[in-house]
Amino acid sequence: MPEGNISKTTVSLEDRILTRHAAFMANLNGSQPFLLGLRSNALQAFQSLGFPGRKSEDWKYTPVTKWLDASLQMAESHDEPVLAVPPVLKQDNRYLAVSVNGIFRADLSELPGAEQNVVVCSLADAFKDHTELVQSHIAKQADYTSEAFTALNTAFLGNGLFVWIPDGASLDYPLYVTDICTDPNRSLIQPRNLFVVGANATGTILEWYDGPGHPSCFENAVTEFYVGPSSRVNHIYVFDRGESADLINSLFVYQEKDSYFATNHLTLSGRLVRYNLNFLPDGEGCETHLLGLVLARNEMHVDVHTFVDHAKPNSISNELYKCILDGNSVGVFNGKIMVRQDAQLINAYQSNRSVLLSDSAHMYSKPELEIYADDVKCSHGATTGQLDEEAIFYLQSRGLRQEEARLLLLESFAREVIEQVDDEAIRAYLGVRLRELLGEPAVSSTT
Amino acid sequence: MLRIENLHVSIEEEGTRILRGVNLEVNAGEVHAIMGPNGSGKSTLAAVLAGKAGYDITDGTVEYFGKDLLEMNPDERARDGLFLAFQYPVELPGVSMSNFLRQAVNRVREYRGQDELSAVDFLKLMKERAALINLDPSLIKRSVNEGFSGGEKKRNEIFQLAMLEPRLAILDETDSGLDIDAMRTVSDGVNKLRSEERAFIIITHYQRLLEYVIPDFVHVLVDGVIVRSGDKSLALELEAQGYDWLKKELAESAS
Repeated sequence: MPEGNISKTTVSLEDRILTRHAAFMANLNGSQPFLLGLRSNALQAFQSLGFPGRKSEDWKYTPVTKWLDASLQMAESHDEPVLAVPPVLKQDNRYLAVSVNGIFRADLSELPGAEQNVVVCSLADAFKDHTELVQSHIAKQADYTSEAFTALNTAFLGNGLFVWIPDGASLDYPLYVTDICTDPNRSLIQPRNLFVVGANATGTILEWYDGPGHPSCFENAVTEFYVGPSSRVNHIYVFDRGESADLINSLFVYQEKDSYFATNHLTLSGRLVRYNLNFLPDGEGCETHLLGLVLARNEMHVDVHTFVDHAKPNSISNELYKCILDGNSVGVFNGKIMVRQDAQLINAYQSNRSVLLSDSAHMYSKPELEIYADDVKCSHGATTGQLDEEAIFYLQSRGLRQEEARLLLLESFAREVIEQVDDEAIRAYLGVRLRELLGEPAVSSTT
Repeated sequence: MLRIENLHVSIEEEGTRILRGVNLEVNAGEVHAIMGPNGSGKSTLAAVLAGKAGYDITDGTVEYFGKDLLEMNPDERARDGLFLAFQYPVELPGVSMSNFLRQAVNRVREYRGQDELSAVDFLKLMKERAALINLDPSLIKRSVNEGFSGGEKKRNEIFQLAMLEPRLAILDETDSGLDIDAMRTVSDGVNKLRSEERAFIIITHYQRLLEYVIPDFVHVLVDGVIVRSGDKSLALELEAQGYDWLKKELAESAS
């Protein structure tokens, strides 16, 4: 293996993965050669890559093997979810796609009617019913040859979610996507989503992962978006699974010309949370918005890696990530922007702003701009600081208690991201949830 | 209302002595002006009264309505009717004026045993008080002080004063950086807010503001001590002769 420093526990986890994969492949009677080939190629890639170690530049501040402990099992349970749909998702005027432990469940979902001309089904069904379409998009952006977690996910690809908004179609209501983790053991679950949005199509996709029952799962999710010419997609992602849940979430977005893609990642709890957010605006006139809010407390570790690859001219990207770190939490932001040689007239903005609420919280922020075109506007800024004492005193001098002043400032700091969540019900819920989390005294350590 | 006795204050850690025995008594309805050259301790006095951190009170007492003011938190002082108009109002990006002021007004009302204002009543009060001091109503919809001009920030301080209806208002160099028109509107606002129950301490470097807001008493602070007190004519004398005149006179009388 190229990384020589993989510990014994992860080797044994890898062994478990290999054993499981052999069984998984043996059970796949009747699967297409395409899928079998993809899985075994991905497994080979995973084997040669290995889990990233300390020497991997991409994982410099996130020694991920620390969270890949010996107790981690491959997800087994197929129990009925005890707690079905998260209450906040019980809204009017929305569709709902529910998975359980990474496996899409049509029976628990509320899907658009046939008149909507939108397909929402399991990837397994999609391979059968929309073979060409799926084969031309799956694992195209999510390159499994260079990234171990994407390879691992791809090696077990099969039962995820497939959404297709065909040319000219539009989802009249947002599609809420959620996964319910029911395995009481510490298990590896690997959700896989493929969204294909045709030309001149629109949709709002809201991914919601909260934690009834405080799952201790390790989630390795991969999501691919193909956004067709002149299409518009709003994407919202909320992670709030509680203090024993780990997440690695890799998002790959491919944009055709004149398309619009906006994503807003809100991370409210978790233990290890790592985002690999990749955007390839591969046509002129693209607009890409990446926003995120991280609220980390106690021992939480959040790492946001973004990569915007401007391959074609005349496009805009705008990136804003805000972090509030308390306790012993660690935040990492690595924002890479690439402007390729012929990609003139690009406007790319990036900003990472963090507030540290304790002396033992850490933030590592690194912009990475690679610009090969000469007629572009790019900017980046990173600030990390404590709450402004002058501002707190100002508010106190108007009668607010110190805690109220602090809360007001933090809420205002977060609002810039939250108010851009394009879903009123969720926006309102997030406001309440944030206040609840910020108002709670931080616990010094988890036990 | 307020009784300051022999107040000695140093800057925390570095130990520089700023106030060296200030005595001052302020009663309801009175307007006191505190003048003095730069670095004489005027703003320190305002900051200490409002409860700002970073100062060591090395001696003396401050009594506010019979209570030990120095024992109270800044927010407690504010709820009990002490208001400081800042020399440099703080910008609060993302904190909306109405959200902030509604919390502030309701905290003060709660302390006074009054019911919280409803959203409708609060909005009405904001409009009324903004009109009282000619505050551009569009500023109410913005973040607190963010991107405000110098004059707008100072006017906003007086607007907050009007909203919170304090018993003792301390204006820390509210006139600095104001052009003559802005000074007039700010002064008009202050004059409208003068009342039998409310006292003002107006800290200023120049006499200009005192042409519009006529003080009952003028005190001159030099090197951390009030060296002279008088009526409004003292301000005119200072304007004509400068602080050097007073310093020289003091040096002569000391020798």
